[in-house]
Amino acid sequence: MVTDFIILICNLYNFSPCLTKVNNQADQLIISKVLAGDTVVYAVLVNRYRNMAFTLAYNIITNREDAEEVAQDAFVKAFHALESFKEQSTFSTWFYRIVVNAALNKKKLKKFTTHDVTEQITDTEQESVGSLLQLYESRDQKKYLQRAMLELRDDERICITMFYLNELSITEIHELTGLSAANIKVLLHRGRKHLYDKLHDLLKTEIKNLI
Amino acid sequence: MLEDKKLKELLREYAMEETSADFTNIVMSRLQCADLWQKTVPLFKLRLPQMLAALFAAICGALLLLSFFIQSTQLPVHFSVKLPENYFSQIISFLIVFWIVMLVNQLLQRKKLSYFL
Repeated sequence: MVTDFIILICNLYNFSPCLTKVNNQADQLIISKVLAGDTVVYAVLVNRYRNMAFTLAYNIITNREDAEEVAQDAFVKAFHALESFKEQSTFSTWFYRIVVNAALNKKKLKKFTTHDVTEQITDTEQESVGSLLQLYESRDQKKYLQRAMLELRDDERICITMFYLNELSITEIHELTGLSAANIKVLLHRGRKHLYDKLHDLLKTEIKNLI
Repeated sequence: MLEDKKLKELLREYAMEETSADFTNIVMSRLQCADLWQKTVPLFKLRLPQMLAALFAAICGALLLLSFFIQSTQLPVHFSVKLPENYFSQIISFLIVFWIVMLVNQLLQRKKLSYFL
């Protein structure tokens, strides 16, 4: 009850570091209850992470049915392995590892490929994805953004998903994918750039079609 | 940095995928099924087939050992019917062909399974 109230306050004031800490504590509380035999409480964890697990799996597999199956399998596996979960890492990182492994197995991928890290990363190159989309309605924004995401390279899309949607740090992404921090930064940089380019192309084609 | 934050907000708002409505129910029912399965007591213990196989092997071994010490004339049962000799060769060739076909079939089935998995 108290935790829910703190989460609500943090959400209202958009105070994410506090929110992350409270969420982690809430996860720990749920896990200890599940381990004590109250398995029904696990539904709270499922509800909390289902969309993020599904999004992560979907961005690796790019097939909705398979991604949903993988996400469900991951939750079942996590439940059975809950006793082995050490509090050294957060539940989310531990759980995303299960999702990533299951999704990679489904896609029959063994590991991520490394990239040339000589590319210069400059902040000035960053283009605004938001400014491209601001002319469109929310429904259309969603449609174009999802299409542009699917057109990204697999590794770029996965890194973007982990970093922005699953809110994982570079170190955590390194733990999950085995890619070096430099490689991840390059992939994020290229991903952002390609996302902008793809959106730009998509919108240009759309405007041409309208004319 | 600000642009990065905006992109994050945008992606979280529009690129987050949603599961089907009954996702949590499916997961919880799968967990319940797994739990029930673990609690179910099997009708016979898993060791029973192993024990039966061991018993069968022991009886076969005992009969084989006895056959060295007991002569056929000492046995109370006598076969007076004379079977043609080609029956034995036919039985042996049948057994050989049967096992070859079964092994090939098993191999093909394994290949098929690994293809589908």
